[in-house]
Amino acid sequence: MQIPYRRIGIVAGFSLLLALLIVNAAVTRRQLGLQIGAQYSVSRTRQVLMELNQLELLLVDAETGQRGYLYTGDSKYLAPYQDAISKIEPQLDTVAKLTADNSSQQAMIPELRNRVHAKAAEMAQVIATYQSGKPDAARELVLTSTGLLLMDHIRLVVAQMEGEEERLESVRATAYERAIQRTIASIYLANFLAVVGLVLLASYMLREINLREKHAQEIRTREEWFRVTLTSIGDAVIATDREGAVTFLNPVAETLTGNDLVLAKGRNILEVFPIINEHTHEPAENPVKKVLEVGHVVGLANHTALLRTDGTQTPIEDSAAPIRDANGELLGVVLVFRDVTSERKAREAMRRTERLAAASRLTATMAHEINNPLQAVASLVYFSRTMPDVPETVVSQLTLVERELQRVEHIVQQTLGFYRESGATESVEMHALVESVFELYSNKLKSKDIRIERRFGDCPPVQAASGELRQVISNLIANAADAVHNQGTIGITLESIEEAGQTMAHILVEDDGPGIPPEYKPRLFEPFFTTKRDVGTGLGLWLTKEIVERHGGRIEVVPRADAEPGAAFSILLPVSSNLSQAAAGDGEVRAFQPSELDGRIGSEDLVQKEE
Amino acid sequence: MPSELLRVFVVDDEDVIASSLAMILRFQGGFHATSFTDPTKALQAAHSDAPDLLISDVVMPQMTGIDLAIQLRSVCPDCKVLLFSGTAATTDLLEAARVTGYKFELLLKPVHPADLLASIRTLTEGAQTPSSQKPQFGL
Repeated sequence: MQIPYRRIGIVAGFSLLLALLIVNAAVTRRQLGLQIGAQYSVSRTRQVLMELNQLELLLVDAETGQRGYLYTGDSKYLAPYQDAISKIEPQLDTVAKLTADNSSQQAMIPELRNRVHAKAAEMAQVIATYQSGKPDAARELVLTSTGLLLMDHIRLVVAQMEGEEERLESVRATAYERAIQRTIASIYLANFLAVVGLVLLASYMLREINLREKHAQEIRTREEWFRVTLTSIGDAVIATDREGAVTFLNPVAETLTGNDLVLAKGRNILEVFPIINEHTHEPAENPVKKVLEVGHVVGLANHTALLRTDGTQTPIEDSAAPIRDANGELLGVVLVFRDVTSERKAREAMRRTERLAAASRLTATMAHEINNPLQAVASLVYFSRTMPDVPETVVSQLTLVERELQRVEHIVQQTLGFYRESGATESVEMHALVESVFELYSNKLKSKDIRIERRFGDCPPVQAASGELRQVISNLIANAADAVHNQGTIGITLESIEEAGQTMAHILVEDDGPGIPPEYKPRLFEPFFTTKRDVGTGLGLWLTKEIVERHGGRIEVVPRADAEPGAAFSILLPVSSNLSQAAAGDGEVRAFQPSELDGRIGSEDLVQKEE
Repeated sequence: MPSELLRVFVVDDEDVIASSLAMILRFQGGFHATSFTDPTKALQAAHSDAPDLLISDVVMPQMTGIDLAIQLRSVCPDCKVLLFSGTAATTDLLEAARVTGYKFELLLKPVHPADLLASIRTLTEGAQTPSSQKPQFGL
C-alpha cells in the first residue's frame, strides 16, 4: 500500500473516533439535561405536595388557636391563630407559583383560594363575634358546622390537587428512570465503540509500524549490500550528488586520490578528483561535470592522470555515469576509475616484445646473410694478403681492406649478433654468460692488453632469453673495450640485491677509460646516437636498454666508486621472469650451464700478454 | 709441423667459403684440406678417407653441421670438430647436441682465418697458445 493511503487511513480512523466521542458528549449532555429537568419536576411535585400539606396544617393551626381562644377566652391563643392566618396567603401564593406550569392545577387554585378565604373569613367572624362579647354566639357559630363544611371542602380540593401531583410524580419518576437508563446505555455504547475503534486503529498502526520497520530493515540491508559491494570492488568508485559534491569514496578511491572518505565527503569533485592530461599537464575535463551537463555516460579522455594529494600522478582510465531515481530524475554521478600503471607497463612490455620479436626475426636472417659473405671476403682477403711474393703495396691495401671489414663485422656483431628467433626464457647463469662474452671478445681484449677485474658475488640464475642477455653484456663489454686505453681495466661486478621484496641480479660493468661526457648522458640510450663516428651505429645501447627493460629490469649510467675516472653501467634484472611471454616460443626452459663453455674459456684470467 | 699432413674437411654450402678456407688451410696451415659444399658428400668421402679434423658450417640445406659431426664421429671417432656459424641461433642446436652427449666448439662467422688456424692448433696440439700467426685483426 502506498504511504499516502496509509496516512489517510490512520487520520480517518482517528477522525471517526473523535466524532464518536463528540457525539457521545452531546448525547450525554442532552441526557443529563433531560435528567436534571426530570429531577427538578419530581422535586417540585414533592414540594407542591408539601406546600399543600402545609396549607392544610396552617388552617388547622389557625382553627386550633381559634378554638383555644373560644374555650378559654385567653387571648394568648390568638397569637398562634394570627400567626397561621398571616402565613396562609403567602402559602397560597407559593402553591400557585409552584403549579404555574400545570393548567389543571391552576384551574383549581382560584377555588382553593376562595375556600381558604371563606374558611379564614368564617374563623375571623367567630373570633370577632367572641370579642364583641358574645361568646355563646361565637360558639353557636362554630357549632353550625359551617366551618367544618368549609374545611372539608378545602380538604377535597387539596386532595384533588395532591392526586394530580402524585400522578405527575409517578409519570416524571418513570421518565427520569428511563432517561438515566438511556444515558447509561449511550455512554456504554459510545465507550464500546471507542474501544473497538481504538483496538482496530492500534492494531492497524502496529501492523503499519511493523511493515515500516521491515521496510527500513530491507533498505538498511540493501544499503549495506551496496556499501560492501562498492567497498569490495577492485576499481575506485566515487559518487557525488547533483551539485558535484562527493558523497561516497570506496577504499580504492581513497588510496588512489589520497583522500579520506570522512574528509572528502561534501567537498567538490574537482578538489577530490583532480585530473590532468599526462602529456600537457593541463587540467583535464572532469567527467562528473560533463555527466551533469550532458546527462549520459561519459568515458575518460586518453592519457589522463590523477593528481594525488601528495603530488604524485597516477595514470587512470575511468568512466562516469548519471545516477537517476525511479522517475529518471538526476540524483548525482557515479565515477569509476582504476590505476592503469601496471596495464601500461604490460602493454609497453608487449610492445617491446613484439618489436624485438620482429627485429629478432629480421636480424637473425640478416646476420646469416651478412656473415656468410663476410666470411668469404675475410678468407679471400687474408689468403691474397698472405700469398707469397705479393707486392708490399698490395699487402698494405689488403690490410686496409681487412680493417674496413673489421668495422662491418663490429657493426653486425653489435646489432645483429646474438638475437635469436626464439624469445623463450631460460634460467641463465650470469657468471657463465659473462665468461662466454669475454671468451668471444678475447682477441680484442688481448690486442689492447686489457685487464679484467671480476668481482663475482653470489648471483642467482636469471630467468631470461639468454641470447638477448648475451647481447646486452656483449654490447657493454665491447663499449668498455673500445673506451679503455691500452692496458686499461674493465671491471665487472655480479651480485644479487633485494629491492622492494624482489631479488634482483645486479651487473655492473666499469671501465677506466675517459668516461662519458655529461652532455651525452641524456641521449646515451637514444637510437642512432653514437660517439664512435667510424664504427658506431648508435644502436648498441638503445638495444641494450630495450632488452633490459623488456626483462623488467633497468639500466643506468652510474658514477664510479670513489669518483674514479671512467664509465660505469649498472643493470638491475629481476631474478624471476618479468619478460612478457607474448613473443616467446615453446617456453622450453634450459639451463645455461658453465660447462657449456668448456673449451672456450681458457683460463680464469683471459688477459694474456701478447708478444 | 707434424710429419704426416693433417687431413681436414671443410664443409660449407657456400662454395666460396668452403674453397677459400680450404686453400688457406693448405697454403698457410700446411694441412691436407678438402672442401665440400654438400655435407652428405663429405660423409661419403669420410668412409674411404677419414679426416683428422672437420670444419663445418652449421646451417646447411642437406643436414646440419652438428648432424654431420655426429655421424662423422661414428665413422672416425678420433676426428676433431670445429663448427662455425653465421647466426647465433645455432647455439640452440649446439645445446641440443650437448644434451645428447656431444660437445662441439662453435666459432661465429666471420671468423678470421688466422683465428681459425689458431683454434685448429689449439684443438689438435693441445693447450699451446698459437701466437705466431696472430694478425692485427680483432673485434
